This record gives sequence, structure tokens and C-alpha cells, in this order.
Amino acid sequence: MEIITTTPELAAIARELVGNLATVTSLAKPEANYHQIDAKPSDVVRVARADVFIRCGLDLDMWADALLGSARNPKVQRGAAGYVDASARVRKLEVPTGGINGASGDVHPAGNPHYWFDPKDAVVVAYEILLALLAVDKAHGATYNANYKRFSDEITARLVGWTKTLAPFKGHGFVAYHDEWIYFATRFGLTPFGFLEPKPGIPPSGGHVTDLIQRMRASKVRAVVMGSIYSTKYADLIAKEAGGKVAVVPYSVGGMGTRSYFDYIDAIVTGFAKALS
Amino acid sequence: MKWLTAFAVALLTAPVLAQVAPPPPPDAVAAPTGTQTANNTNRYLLLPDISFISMVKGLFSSDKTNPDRNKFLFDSGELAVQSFVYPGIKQDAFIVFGNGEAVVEEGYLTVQDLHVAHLPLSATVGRRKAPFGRVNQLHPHSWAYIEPPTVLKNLLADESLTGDGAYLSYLFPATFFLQLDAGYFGQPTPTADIPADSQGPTSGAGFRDTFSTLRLWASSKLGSGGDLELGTSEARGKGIGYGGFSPQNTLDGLDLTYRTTAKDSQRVLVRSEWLSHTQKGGGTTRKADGYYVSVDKRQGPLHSIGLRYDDSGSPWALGREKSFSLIQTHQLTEQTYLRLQATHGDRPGQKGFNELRLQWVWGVGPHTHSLE
Repeated sequence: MEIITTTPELAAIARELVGNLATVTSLAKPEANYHQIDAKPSDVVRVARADVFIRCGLDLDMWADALLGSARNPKVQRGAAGYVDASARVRKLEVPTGGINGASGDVHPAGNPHYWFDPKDAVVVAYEILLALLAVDKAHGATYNANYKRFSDEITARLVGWTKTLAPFKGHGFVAYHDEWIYFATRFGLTPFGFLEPKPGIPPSGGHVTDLIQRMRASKVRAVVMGSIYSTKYADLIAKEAGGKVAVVPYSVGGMGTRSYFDYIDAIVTGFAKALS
Repeated sequence: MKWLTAFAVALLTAPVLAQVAPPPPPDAVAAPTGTQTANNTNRYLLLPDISFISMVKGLFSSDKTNPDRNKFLFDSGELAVQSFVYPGIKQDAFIVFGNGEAVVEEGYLTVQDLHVAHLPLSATVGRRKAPFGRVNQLHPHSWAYIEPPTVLKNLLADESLTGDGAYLSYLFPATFFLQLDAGYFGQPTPTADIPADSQGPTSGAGFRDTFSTLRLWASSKLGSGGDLELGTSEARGKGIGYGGFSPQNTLDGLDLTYRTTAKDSQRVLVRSEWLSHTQKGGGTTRKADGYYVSVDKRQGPLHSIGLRYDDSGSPWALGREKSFSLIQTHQLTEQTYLRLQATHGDRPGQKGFNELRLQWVWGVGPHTHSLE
């Protein structure tokens, strides 16, 4: 069985469920900006052969629509048993309530799409994938159920440690490059204080960064957390001017030496603890 | 009859592959998006994807005969209405406003799977940019340049070779991407014949009415990250009648693309297309050919820089145009960018011409195309 995902995180979660029963491939490479992926002909073949296609949804991977259309694989078209929108059952955060337009930046109309940073949502994603696996590959249903339970149990167990690590920083503010930490911050009781991007998808400007530094000084916020794909130019400046600490955390599973979803969250939790301490 | 009853009972009670029940959903599960209660405000869900992309262009040129010289002009606005109309059947309409008129640039229906003997065969019917060459089906806002390569303008079309018709697309069940596109197109009104003492066409393939296209393209991953694409295309049709005879026009093309990506949005795209145009008729054969080679480096989500070399003849004029272009793009958001293209070269009658083009593209609303 072949499983194609749009992002490495979804691939990592899918691998936990299928073990050796399927090959799992992510279309986006680790450390690629998921907002800007080229839909390539070589990817069409992968989607054409797929038994299950798992996408992030919430308009993060709209580039996948071109691949689904070109691959014309009925097993993974929208509505088919092998099509998984991993966001379907996730409790969405930052869903815009007023109107949004270009002045709002690249705001996703159905909510912030970076839900995989919350380990509890990883279980929700795994459940969505499980339902597809049970429908597509009935013969191994018991194995998928068992693997799902093992994954869910391990998340529950590790969550205790992750929560303990970040507990001393509950309520503390942090600065990030892009508005992608709301699910993680909500889970661990942290407070996103500001972003280097003045609005989602809009590059940092000198004026905005200066204002951010002043606000950080006034509020005594020092932690700066950067996904590993972003330049640390402004973050280093902030660290210098506001006396902050910069921590670079993996943007993707596969980045900074991480190999599994657990490694990934481990590295992120460690990074946040370092920046906040 | 006893044996028949026993057989039926055996069939009905035969062990089927049992459906394994899923466990209960995890705590954090919300109602699946698809099962949320509908109400009046959900009527917007019936709307198709509607978007509008606008483009302003500026030109500063050493060519004093160009009427657009030293001006910023609103080039066009593209209204797109896209939606599935039936499971597996999608409609796309692109209406372009510009030069005081609105035209349906493209309007077509795509049947994604024809279900012919389980073959991955799709069909497109309507007005469509023809599947010829690597970039002909791209819209101007998706180009990696402002001014198209000279060979495409001279031998194919000013913007793109478009017709009303249909094409079939077959994706070979291979381990690498291999696709065959075969199309047949026509014009709503055939181009009138041109008297011998009048000026003929100045650019493009010069098809009078109907033409057929064939394109075979392949792509495979190379090593650790690069993708190589190779394509070959042909278009045939009656040429515009000129001086009392109607030639047969044939257009052949070869294209090559190599693309490699790295961290963040970094990408290097190398692309080249070679085209050959042949006109046969009235006892004579006229040939023209040309090519371009381009390299585009996207340095991150915001900037890309490209270099292009053009060398092309023309079926409609003597001499060749050769030029170098430097292309710089600054991406403001996912749908908004500024681009600059500086070109220096020689063309018949203009040695050492210089052009500086500026382009500002902005868009609103969800907008999708097939592969880049």
C-alpha cells in the first residue's frame, strides 16, 4: 500500500500507524516552506499510485489540488475512502470572525492551519488517518487499531513530561517569526506575544521590529523562537536589543536531525524551554 | 432445489472480510467539518471559487516605434470562476478584461477520468490554451518573466496558442511521469486569406482555422532532489492563405526543465524550449526555428532572480533576434508580486536595443491552475 502526504509531519504520524505495512512519502521535503511548494509532474505519478492521500487542509496545501486533478486517481479524490483531510476533526483556532482581505496578510479563512504542533491534535489526526486505513485496508484493521492505541498512549505518556518541562513558563510570552504556534501555546499555557512578521506572510520591516523590541522591553519578554527555515537576522537583532534568547526549533519532522513525530515535539519543547528560561 | 437453497445460504454466510470497528474518537475531536449543521449563512458554500488577478505593465525602450514606450499601462484583469460541476468534472472559466474589451480567454470542462477500461484518461472540452510545449498552458501571471521568450512569440503565439476544441490526456501507468496529450482545436472565425500585396502575419504559428496537437512529456526524479522533465510537441494545421495559396503549417517543439529545491522556498529552475516552424505550399518550403534557455533562482519566499537567453528566427520576417534578459521578482504575498525584466540584444533593424519592463501583479480570491 502507498500513502502520500503533503507534509512530513503527516507522514510521520501515518508511519506510526502503518509500520511496515505501507510506504509513506511526503510531497513536501523537510524544511520546505509549505506555503510555496511546486506541484511537479513527478509528484503526479506518486499521487496516481497512492492508495491513501493525506493533506493538511485549511488552505495550507492548496497546491495539492493541482496534483489530485492531474493524477486522476479515483481512490484518493475528494470524498473517496483514500482521501484524508487531516484537519477535519481538529478543533480550529484563530478562525477569522470578521471579514478578511489582502490587508490582513495571508490569513487562512478556515482557521490557523498549524495544528500538528499540539500533540493532542496529532492524535486527532492519527484518528482521521485510522478511519481511512480501516476503510482501505480491512485485512490489517486490527494492526492499525493497535498501532493507533500505542501512538495515542505514547502521546499521553510523553505529554506528562513535555507539560512538566514547560510548566515553569506557564503564562510567559514569546516572540516567533510566523503565527504558527497558537495550538502549541494553547496546549502548554504559553502566550504568543508578537511576531516578526507584522501580519501573516508579510515580511518583517525595520519599523515593526523596532516597535516589537520596545514592546518586549516594556513587557520584559525575552524569548524568541524561530522555525528552522527562517533567517535569524532579525531574531538575533531582537535578542541583542531586548536582551532576549533565541531558540531555533525544527520546522519539519526531518529537520535538525529529528526522525519521528516524538523527536520533533521533544526538540520543540526543549527549544521553547531554552528560550523561556 | 435443496442444493440451491444450501448454496444460497452458504453464500450469504460465507466469511467476508470483516470490517474492524474503529476505537472511540479521542477527546479533542470536534465534529467533522462535513457534518456541521447547515443554515442560511452556509449558502455561500454553493459559490464557485471566484478570483480576480490584475496586472499593470511598464515599458522603457530604446525602440522609438513602440507605441507603449515609456508608459505604465493597465495590461489586463483576469476573472476566474472555477468549480466542480459533477463528481470528477470541473469547469474553469477565465474572462480577461483589457484594451476596452472582455474576452473569454479560456472556458472549458475537464472530465478527470473517462473510465475507459480503467485507463487514466481525461478529456478537456471548450476553449483552452493548447497542450503544446512546456509553458503554453500557463497564464501570464504564472510566468517566470514579463515578456515571453522571442521564439514563443515568433513561432507559436503572442501570448499562447489557444483554440476551441478538445484534447485527451493519457497518463501512462509507469513508474515515472509519462503523459500523452492529443488535441484538436479550431477558431470561432477562420482567419481571412491575405492578398499577396498586403502584409502577412507578424508573429505566431499562423494557423488559418483548425489545428491538431500532440505532446508527449516525461518527468523523473534525479538522485537526491532534482526533477528532470523532457517534452516533445507537434502542432499541424492549414496556414493562413497568402498570395493565393494555402500552406500547411507544422510546428515542432522540444522542451527540457530541471528543477531542484532546498530549504525554505529555495529553488533553481532551468528551462529550455526549441521550436521549429515549417510552411509548405505553392511549391516552396519556408522554415524558421529558435530557442531560449533560462535559469531562475528563488532565494526564499520573497525573491527570485533569473537570466534568459533568446535566439529566434521568424516565419514572417528575415533575420534573427538574439537577446539576454535579467529578471528580478519580489513576492509581496502569495498572490502579489513586483517584477523587473531588463533586456539587451539585437533584432532585425535594431542593433543593440535595450528594454526595461516592470510588472505589478495582484490578486484576490482562490485561484488554481494545473501544474506550474
